[in-house]
Amino acid sequence: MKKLSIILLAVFLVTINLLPIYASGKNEPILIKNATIYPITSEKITGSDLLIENGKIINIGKDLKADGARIIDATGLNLYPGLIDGFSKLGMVEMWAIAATTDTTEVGRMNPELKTTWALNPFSVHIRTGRITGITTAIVGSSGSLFPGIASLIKLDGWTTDEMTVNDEFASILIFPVTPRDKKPELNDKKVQEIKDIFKEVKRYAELKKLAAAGKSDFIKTYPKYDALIPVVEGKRPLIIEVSTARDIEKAIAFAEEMKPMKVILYDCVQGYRVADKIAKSGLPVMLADMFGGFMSVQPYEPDEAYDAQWTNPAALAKAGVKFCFTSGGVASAAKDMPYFAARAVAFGLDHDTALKAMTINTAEILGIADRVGSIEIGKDADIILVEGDPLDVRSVVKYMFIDGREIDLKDNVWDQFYDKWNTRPKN
Amino acid sequence: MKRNILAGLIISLSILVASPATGESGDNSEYLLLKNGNIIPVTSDNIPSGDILIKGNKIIKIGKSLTAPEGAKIIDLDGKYAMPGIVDSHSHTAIEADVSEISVYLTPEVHIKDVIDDEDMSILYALSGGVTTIHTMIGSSNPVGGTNIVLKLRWGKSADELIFKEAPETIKWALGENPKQSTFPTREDKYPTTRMGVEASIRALFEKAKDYKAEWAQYRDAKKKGLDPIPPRKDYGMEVMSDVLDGKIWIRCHAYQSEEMLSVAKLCKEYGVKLGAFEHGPEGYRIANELAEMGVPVSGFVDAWSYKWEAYFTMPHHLAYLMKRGVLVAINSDSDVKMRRLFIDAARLMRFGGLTENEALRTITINPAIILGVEKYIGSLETGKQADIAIFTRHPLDPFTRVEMTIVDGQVVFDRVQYHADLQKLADEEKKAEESKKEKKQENKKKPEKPVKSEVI
Repeated sequence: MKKLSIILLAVFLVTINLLPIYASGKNEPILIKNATIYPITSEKITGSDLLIENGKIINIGKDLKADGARIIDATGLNLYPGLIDGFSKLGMVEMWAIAATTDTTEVGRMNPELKTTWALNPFSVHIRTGRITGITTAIVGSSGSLFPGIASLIKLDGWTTDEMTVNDEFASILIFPVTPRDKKPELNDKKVQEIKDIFKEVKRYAELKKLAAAGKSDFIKTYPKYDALIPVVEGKRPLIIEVSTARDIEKAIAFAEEMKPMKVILYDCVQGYRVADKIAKSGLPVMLADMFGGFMSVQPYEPDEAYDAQWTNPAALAKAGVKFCFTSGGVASAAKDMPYFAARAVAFGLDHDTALKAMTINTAEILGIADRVGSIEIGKDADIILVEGDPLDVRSVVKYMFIDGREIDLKDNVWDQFYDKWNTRPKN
Repeated sequence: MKRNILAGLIISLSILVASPATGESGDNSEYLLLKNGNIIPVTSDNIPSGDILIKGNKIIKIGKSLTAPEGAKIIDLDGKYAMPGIVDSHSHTAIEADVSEISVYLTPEVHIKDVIDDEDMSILYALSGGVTTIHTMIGSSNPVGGTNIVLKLRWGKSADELIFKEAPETIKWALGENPKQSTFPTREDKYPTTRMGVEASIRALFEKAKDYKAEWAQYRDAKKKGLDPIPPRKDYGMEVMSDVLDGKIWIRCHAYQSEEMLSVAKLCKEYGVKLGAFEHGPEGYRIANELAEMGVPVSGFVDAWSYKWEAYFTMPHHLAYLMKRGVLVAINSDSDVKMRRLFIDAARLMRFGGLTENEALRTITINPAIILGVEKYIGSLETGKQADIAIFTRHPLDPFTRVEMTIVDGQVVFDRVQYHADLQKLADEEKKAEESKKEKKQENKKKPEKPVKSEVI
């Protein structure tokens, strides 16, 4: 009881006292002057202006003029599209040790109908600290086993969950059965067959529903868990398959081939380098997970792997022609580290351009949202960051951020608030 | 098994790369010259395109255009960056699995040195991140947990040879959520479950230790007087605590909340014991002035936060903030995985808190060496210091840098190129062995099967 009251008090404090007061900028025309623009999809442009209106990029070029627009002098700053985090837990968890603040994982294996937006906290501290390195768009997904739910696509700005959400049924998640290292791969085929059987049932359910709707069949009881998977079997909603080892990736590839027209995105693939050619041949895109690991994680993944396998993995995938992107993985409190995963990959052989693409346009293409985000092009959403230095460098500071043309207050996070406050304490 | 093969292979090859340091007179193989590197001594100005001359396990000269005696080993750094081997002042690396004695709550008699695992691959992985000295500690389940050990990562040597013998002994204390078991509950009826209980238990232990010391002093006194007293009962925990009271063992106190840190710092002052450092101390910035005045260092994370309640009220700027207010700070890993990128954590302090390059590098070299009491031997590149050197492809704080080579006591213990060659060789050999196994199997199959006689045993 005492513990519960402490937890309640904690939650109360978190929600009432500590969370920064949300402040989203106005949607006014903004003219960014004299920036070095990295459009990602074309060559960099030095000393260029960029005009934002109604949340979109409407012009790029030298010496632009716009009456009544707010002018931002970007001399000495580099302009990039906002970064996209391909798989996060942003807004789903505040402190993992306090269950009251954690909504990432539901009980049970068969939860394909759960939507992350139901638990998403738009005032999460981690959304604010996650933004400081340049992330403007993120996929938020749940965790668990087998079918943990439906991930949503959000922009990291909005007064409500609805305002943040671009698509609350963006992708379904499947945690692929893990083949233990010392076991024969066939042992897991049964589990994969179980998934295939579920999809077979879903297909049958969908057909019967159609027949019933047309009056050609009896009444069909609604089964929300299967309803949630119908768009997946029809290839209308992507299926993110979390899979790690080479032996399981191969199985996931075969599974995806058999399940066509299902749209499959592989997630994690920490041993992707061992089957890079096979992934490339399958044409399946890959989203890489957390590359730093928390306290508990083990690196390398398996004892016969090189110490740097996780860091050379992106370069190996790129070489084989696999389309991949970076994500922040499962740690909401460290989402801001995503650009530094990319930097590690560069240190271990990936070229800088590909690393940048793997946080912007490649991510957008993998997710099917490249018409709106991922590059600096006229007509795209004005999701923009202005960086003093290279966004992959831990030492760089993102000076400005715009999401849908609104300026984001990057100081609106607990870290800067603590720092500013305690800097006012007199010194000894 | 595979782990041992790999370990053995890498050890043997590293010995080939760096010849033994025990050269006879006239034999100069104990000399090692690192040429044409960007030298970052940390405690003095950088030397672009400089050399380091090593004899045995010591640095004997740093400068430009050095010459080595004939027969010396020479490594051309070719513009790479050489910095002092990184020191991690808080880890749980290179031990058998058990890190905490959780059955009871005061365990000063427990020693981490009893469970050193000299074959732990994490040692090699630490070296791959430029780390050469670690402080391997007891866990944080108990207010008083047991004694820790400082290890020099002499990969390939026995557990006893890994021990940094010159380092003062330390004891692990812990405050807050872990000893009061709110994050990791152990047993419902186990004391303490409040911060009050944690402090009371430490105070009680001090009083017990004072009595124990007095008892033994009385006994020795009586013996001196020629009497024949009955000796007090020996208590191994109290022996350790007596050394703590005498300032021979330094306290390393896991703590998160600022007020708790402050009251324990006062407690240590009251009993006149040496508080070596607070561990983690994410709220330490709130008492920066007080810590600076008391001269208590903080060894912490940069931006690990919000995993529990007491880790919430912090900021990645906290170590830089403390440093700027005169507190000695070091970055620690507390993790085999995080240990391998402490240089990235150091670079973060330039972003969060505005440290200079040199200040940032101090937090992973000379500062943790001072906290461990071994700054005379390691922590910077200086003549006379032990030759522990990390070689980076670019400046260690550059985002695209990586460790290419690590030297401990003048011996190359990690060489990335060699490492990958070894690994490839191992994989090839294994593949070959497997193939020949398969071939044999097939050959056997081709042979006409003999009738199998069942044997009854």
